[in-house]
Amino acid sequence: MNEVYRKWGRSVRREGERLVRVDEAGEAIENGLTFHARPMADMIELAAPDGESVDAAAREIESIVKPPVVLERLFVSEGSVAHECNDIRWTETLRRVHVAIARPPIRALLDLADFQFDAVQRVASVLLRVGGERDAPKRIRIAENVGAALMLSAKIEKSQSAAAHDGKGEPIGERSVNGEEPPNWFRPSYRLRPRRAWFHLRARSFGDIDPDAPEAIALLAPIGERMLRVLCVDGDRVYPSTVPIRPIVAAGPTDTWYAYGAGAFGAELML
Amino acid sequence: MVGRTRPTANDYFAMVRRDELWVRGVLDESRANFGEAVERGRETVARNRIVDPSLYARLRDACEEEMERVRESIHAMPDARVRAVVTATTEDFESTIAITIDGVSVVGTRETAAGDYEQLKRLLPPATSHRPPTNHPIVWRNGSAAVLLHEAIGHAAEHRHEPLAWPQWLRVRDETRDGRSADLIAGELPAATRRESFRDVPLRRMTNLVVEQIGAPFDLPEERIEVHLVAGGAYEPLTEMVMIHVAISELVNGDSATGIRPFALRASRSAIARSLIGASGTPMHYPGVICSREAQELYVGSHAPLIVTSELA
Repeated sequence: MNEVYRKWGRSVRREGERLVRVDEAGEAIENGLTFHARPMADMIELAAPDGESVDAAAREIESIVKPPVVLERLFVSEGSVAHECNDIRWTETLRRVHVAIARPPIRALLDLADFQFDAVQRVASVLLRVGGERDAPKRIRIAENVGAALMLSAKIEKSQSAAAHDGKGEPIGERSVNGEEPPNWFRPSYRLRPRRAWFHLRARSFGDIDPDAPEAIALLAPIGERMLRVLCVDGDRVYPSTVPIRPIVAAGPTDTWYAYGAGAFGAELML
Repeated sequence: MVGRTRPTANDYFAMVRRDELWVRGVLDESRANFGEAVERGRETVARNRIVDPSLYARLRDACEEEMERVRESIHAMPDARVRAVVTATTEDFESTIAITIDGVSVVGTRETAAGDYEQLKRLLPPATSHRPPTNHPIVWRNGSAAVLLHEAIGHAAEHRHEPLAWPQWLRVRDETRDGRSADLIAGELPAATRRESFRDVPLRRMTNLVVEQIGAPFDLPEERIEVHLVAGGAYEPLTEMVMIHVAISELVNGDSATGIRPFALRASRSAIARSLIGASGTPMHYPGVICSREAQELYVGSHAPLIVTSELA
């Protein structure tokens, strides 16, 4: 039997200096053997994303970053999306921000799912006084935005949070993440085959977060298999460091959602 | 002027793309895509329809006809994973075939696909390969130096980094499909503006990198690493460091050759400039550069002669 998935989307994004508006619709059909994807001519009524707020958010980020720190890369987007699968239709509104802030030779990476820029402000500010590379601290506190990026691979107790729909329109139930295959399906695009994934991961709170420990406030590179390249703040000192991914001794979940994988909530972690 | 003017050829872009993934002779994935983009000042408006039906039909037919020819090539590769991508746009036409066997990939055009496939099968590493040795000169065979210099010279030019003193015998240029050329060693930007799809912002990107040597010295070191295939590379614009992931290589000592496990090289572009110690022959097609920048993946043709570098860290 064919499974048909349809998606309609309208988006606005600021990419560097340009404002890009995209309207598109497409469908994906799986027949058990071959995955087919193609555009659809029919567009449905969707709320127009707010280009002004996207532009304003981009301008806010540009105003935060001051020389000698430079805004190396800026993507800010908002989208209205409708999905349909197995006779179920659902909608969502998305916001995404990707910022690369550089103080050569280092670059801090921030990925956000809302137009709240406290983390951007903090990173841009401390980069003004960043020093040279230092050894990894013996104990380190991982800020919630960095912890969210670690959630999928972190070997701690965590759970999938409930939500209305997965990539096939089915409800996402709250359940503990274990070694089993995830029950839900994730579709980052209609052009990609859906894959099983854990949604909206949340760490279970345990242990004590030491507020005085050096803090990793931003990734300086995508997460490696065994190492994290991070920007550390320790009192007045700011420095880049490469931290081995050691056992996590404490976790404190937050309510900020990030678009890593099929979604993850922020988590302060102690390594 | 009041009101909007009609888009010109310079601010209108349309594309049709077909792509198929064949796994061991079976069609696994099939995609169609099309759309147009109009640029007005700092704004781009894109959608997945092409208003002009004759333009759409022309681009679609060009893709379908080429995909028919590509399938003929793919049928001769029953043991491989093959992704074919055919794109017809208002600016360009491109047909690429990526072939993967045992996790090792090459990519080229329909014209080079049969040769690329045979070469990949011939080069696939034996089961027993050894740890990469250190402190050896490297012979970049099979056009693979094009990847090294794509990163060290091509991307540096794209980022407008200061040109370096490269050997006098070295020439590196980027050619567009309509015959324009940029001297990358001199720091000229690639002449072509390219984009992955109608949704993307066009950027000055390489199209076809050609490395040549004129009167280069050449002395094959007795003991050397010979690189045949590269899995990937990267240029870090903040530090001007180049990373190359070598997929298939050998340690050669006189007449004996031993396979080496995949390994990574990391060196600054100035260290690479100093390391070039010789070259021989005419440029060879290298089967394998999908270049990713600003989240846009583009095929870049690559050609280089045999090049020798001293040891690289």
